[in-house]
Amino acid sequence: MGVTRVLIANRGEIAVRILRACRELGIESVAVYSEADREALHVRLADQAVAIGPAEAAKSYLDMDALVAAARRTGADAVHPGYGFLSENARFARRCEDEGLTFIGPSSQAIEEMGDKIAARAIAARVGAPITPGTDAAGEDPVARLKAARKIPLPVMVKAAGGGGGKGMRVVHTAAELEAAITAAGREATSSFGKGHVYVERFIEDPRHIEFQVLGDQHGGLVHLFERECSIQRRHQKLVEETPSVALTPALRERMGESAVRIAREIGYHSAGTIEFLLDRSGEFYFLEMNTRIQVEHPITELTTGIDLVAWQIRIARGERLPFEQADLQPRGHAIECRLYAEDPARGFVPSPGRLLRYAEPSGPGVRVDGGVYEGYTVTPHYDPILAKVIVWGETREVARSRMGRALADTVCLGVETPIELLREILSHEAFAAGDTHTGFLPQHFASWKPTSEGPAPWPDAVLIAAALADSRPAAGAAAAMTAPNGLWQRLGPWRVGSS
Amino acid sequence: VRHDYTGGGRPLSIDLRREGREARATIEGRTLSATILHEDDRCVVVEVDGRVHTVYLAHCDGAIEILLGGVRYRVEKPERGSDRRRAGAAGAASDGKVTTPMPGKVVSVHVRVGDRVTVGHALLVLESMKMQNDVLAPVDGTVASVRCAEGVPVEYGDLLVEITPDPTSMEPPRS
Repeated sequence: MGVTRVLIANRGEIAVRILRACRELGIESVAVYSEADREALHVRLADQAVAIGPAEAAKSYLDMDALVAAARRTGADAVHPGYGFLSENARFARRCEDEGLTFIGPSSQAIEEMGDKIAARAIAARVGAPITPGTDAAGEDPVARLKAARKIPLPVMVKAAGGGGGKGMRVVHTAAELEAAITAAGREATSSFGKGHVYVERFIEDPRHIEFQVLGDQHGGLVHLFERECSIQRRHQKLVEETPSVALTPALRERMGESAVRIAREIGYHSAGTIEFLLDRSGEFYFLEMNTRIQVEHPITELTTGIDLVAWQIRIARGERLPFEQADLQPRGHAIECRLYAEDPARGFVPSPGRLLRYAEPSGPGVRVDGGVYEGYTVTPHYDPILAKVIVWGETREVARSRMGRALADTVCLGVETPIELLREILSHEAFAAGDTHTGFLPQHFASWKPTSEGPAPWPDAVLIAAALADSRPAAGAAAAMTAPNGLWQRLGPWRVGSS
Repeated sequence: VRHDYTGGGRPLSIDLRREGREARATIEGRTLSATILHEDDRCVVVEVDGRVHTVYLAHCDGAIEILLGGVRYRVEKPERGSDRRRAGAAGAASDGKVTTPMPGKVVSVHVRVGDRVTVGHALLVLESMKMQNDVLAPVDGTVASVRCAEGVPVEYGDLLVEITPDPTSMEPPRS
C-alpha cells in the first residue's frame, strides 16, 4: 500500500519524532491538535495541522471519528498512532484498515491478541517462554481463582487482565489480604478499563525490567534488536533506560531474544513491538507483556543498532522487506535515555504544568534530544507530562554514563519542575555505576531525595549576585509567569494514576 | 543596595553596589568584587574572584529562578501579596475559600452545601496530567457553596468550594 501522507494521531515529542521520520522519507506529515495544543511544537513543525476537538483527550486524540475525518479532509493515506492514546486500540487499527487507511503498526488482530494479558501469557506459554505461576487457568470464577491463588507462594501480585500503567495492580504479602485485594483490584479494573477481569501471579521481588525490541515485516522477516533495561522507575513508569543491560550474559541474551522472536512469530507480528520480561536475582526471566507499538525508549536501540525504528515502521507498512537477518545484527557501544517530565521529584513526582521560561536542549558529541517543547511554551495539564528525552551514546557504559551527566548539566529548564537534578544523581550513584539496578532502585536509594538547593550546603555567591542584578534591572518582575509556588503542593493529598 | 531574600528555607541577603561593569557585593560579612561580563533578561555572566560563572535566570511568581552549573535555585523575594495564586493559597488557609492549586479538571465532587467538614476532608478530586489528587478542606466548618462541577476544567486560582469556618478553627493548618 502506498504511504504518501501520514496523519500522526498523537502529540508532543513522539509526534515530532514521527514527522521527522516522514520528512526524511519524503512523505508529508499531517499533525492533529486539540484546543489545548494550538501552540504545541508538533503543530508548528508538521506540513499541515488540523484541529480535532477540545482539550479533553476523549473528544480529540481518542476520538476515532475526528481522526478519520481529519485524514479524509487532508487526503492522508496512512495513520501513525505513536504511543499511548489509540496506539494499542485494536478497534482503531481495524477502523483504519476498514477505511482504507494504512495503519502504521501491527495488524488489529495482533493488537487484540496481546491486549488481554491472560491471553498474552497463554501465547508465551504456548511457545515455551517462561511465565510466572498464575491463576490463568481458573479464569474469572471467583472460587476457582481464589483456590488457585492460594497455591502460589507469597508474595503475589493481583493484576487487571486488560490493564496497564500500574492501574489495578497490587502486591499481597499475607494470605489474609488476598481475597480483599482481588475484590479491590476488580473494582479498580472495572472503573479504569471497563472490564473487571483480574488474575493473580507470583510477585517477583526487586526484578530488573528487561525488554526486547522486535521488528518484523509483512513477508515473514522478523528479528529482535536486542534488549533495553528499564529498571529505574517511579510509579511503575520508566525514568532511565539503557542498552545493553549489564545483567545479560551473551547466552542469556540469546535465550531471551529467541523467546521474544518466538512470541512475535506466533502471532504473525509485523512492525515494531516490544516484549517485556522480568529478570529475577537468580537470572530467571519471565514474560510480562507485549507492547504492540513504538516505545518511548526506542531511541537507545536506534543508537546501538543504527536502525531507524520509526522509519522502518513506515517502510514495513508500505510493504518493504527487512534487508537484514538476525545474524547480520551486532549492537555497538552503549546508549542511555533519561526522560524529562514536568514533575517535581522532591514532592512525590507531582505534575508541574506551567510555562517554560528558559529552555535549551543539550548537544555535543553522542547526544540526541527528542523533544516536544520550546522556550516560552506552556506545558498543558491535560496530557502526559513528558517534555523531552535526552539520549546519549558512548563506546562503553562508562563513557555513556559520564556523557549523560554532562548533557543533563548542559540542559537549561526553568519555570517548571523537572527531575534533571535527580537524574544526574542517579547517573552518578555508586549502585547505578556498578549496574546494581532493579525496579525498587528509586525507593531504595532516593526515597527522601531533595534537590541540592534545599540541602545544607551554602549557595554559591554567584547565585545571589545574579539575583540582585536581575532584581535591579528595570523590567524585573514584569515577565511574571505561570508556575505554581511550591507551597501549594503541600495542601494536596497523595497522587494516584488518573483514568483519562 | 541591600536585597533580602529567602532560599532553601533560609534567609539570604546581599548588599550590591555597582558602577558600570564593576560591582562590590557583601554576603554574610564577606565582601567580594565582581565584574559583570554580560547581562540580559535570561542570562548573567559574572567574574567573581578570578572565575567566570554563567547563570541562567527567570522571574517567576515573586521569585527568581536561577540555574548555575546544572543546579537550580529558587530565590524568593519578600511577599508583596500581589500574586493571585499566592493570595488564593493564603485565603484558603484563613477564610475557608478553597481555590485551584493547579490547572486541571474536576473529576468528582464529594461535598454539598451544608455538609460538615473537618481539616483534611477530601472535598473533590482534581485531575492534572493524568494524575488524580484529592483537594482537602483547609479548615473545620460547613460547606457554604460549591463553585465547581464534575468534568469542568479549572484554572489556577479558581474558587472551588467555600467553607464557613467554625469559630474555633481559624488558625491556618499548614502553609
